[in-house]
Amino acid sequence: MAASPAYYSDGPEALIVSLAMHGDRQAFAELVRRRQSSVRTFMRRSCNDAALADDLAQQVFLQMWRKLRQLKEPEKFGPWLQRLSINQLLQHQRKQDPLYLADDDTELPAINQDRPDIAMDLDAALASLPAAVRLCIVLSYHERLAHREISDLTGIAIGTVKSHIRRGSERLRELLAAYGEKS
Amino acid sequence: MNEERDPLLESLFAEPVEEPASDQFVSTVMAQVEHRQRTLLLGRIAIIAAILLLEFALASPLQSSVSLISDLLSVTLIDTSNAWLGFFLTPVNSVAGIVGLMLLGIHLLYRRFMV
Repeated sequence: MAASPAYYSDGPEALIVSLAMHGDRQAFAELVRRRQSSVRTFMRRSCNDAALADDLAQQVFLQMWRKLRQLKEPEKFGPWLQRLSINQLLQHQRKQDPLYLADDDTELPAINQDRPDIAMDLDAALASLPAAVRLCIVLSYHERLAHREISDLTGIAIGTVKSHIRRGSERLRELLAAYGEKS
Repeated sequence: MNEERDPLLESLFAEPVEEPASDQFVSTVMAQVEHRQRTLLLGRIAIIAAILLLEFALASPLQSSVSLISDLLSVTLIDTSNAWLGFFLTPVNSVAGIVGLMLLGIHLLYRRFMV
C-alpha cells in the first residue's frame, strides 16, 4: 500500500532519506522539496546567475539520486548534500575558468563614491566581490562552515580563506552599511 | 582560531530570500530523474540484446571450431594391420598422443633444467 503524502511531508528526515536510499521516489521528491531552497540560494549567492544556479541545483539533486545509496548514515544527509553542492559548484566554475580560485590578492572593486547612498542588496553586494572571496563568504555565512572546512573543501590555503573572509566581510559591511543603520 | 562572524552580515544572510517556484523545480528534477532512469533501462536492454545477438552469431562458428579440433586430434598417424600392435600404440598413435608426449617432454625438460 502506498504511503500518504502527509507521511512523507511530516516524517523525520532520516526516515525519508532511508526510504529514498531504497528507491522510493516520493521520498526522494520530498527531500528535493525540503532542501531545494537551501541549495538554490547557495548556488544563487555563489554564482550570481539565477538560471545557472537552478541548473547547478538540478545537477546536485540528480547526483543525489545517483549517489544516495553510497550514504552510510542517513543522519548525515545534510552535510553530505552540502558537500555535493559545493563540489558541483567548484566543478562547474573550474571548467569555466581553471584559475577560478587563484585570485589570492585580487584588489576588491572600489565603492561607487558618486552614489554613496546607493542601496545594495546582499546579492548585488556579493556579486561585486571576486569569485574566491565571494565563495569563502557564502560558505562561511550561508553554509556556516568553519575556516578549516572551507579550506579543505575548496583547496584554498587556510590563511587565504581567513584573509578572503576578513576582506570580504569588511567590503560587504561598507556596501551594506545602510542596512546596519536601519536596524 | 577566531571565527566570529559579523552580526550584520549574519542577520542579512539569515533573512528569508524570495522563494522561487518550488513545485516547478521539484517537477523538473523528478522529470530528469525519470528521463535518466529510462535512458539507463534502455541502455541495459541494448547491452543484453547485443550479448544475446553475439551469442547467437558466434554459437555456430564456435561449435564448428571445437568439432574441427577434436577431429584433428583423433587422426591416426600410422595405419597398423596388426590388431594387438594397434591396441598398444593407441595412446600415442594420434595427433593428440603426439601433442601429449610433446607436452610431457617439455614438462620434464623444464623440471630438469629450470627447477
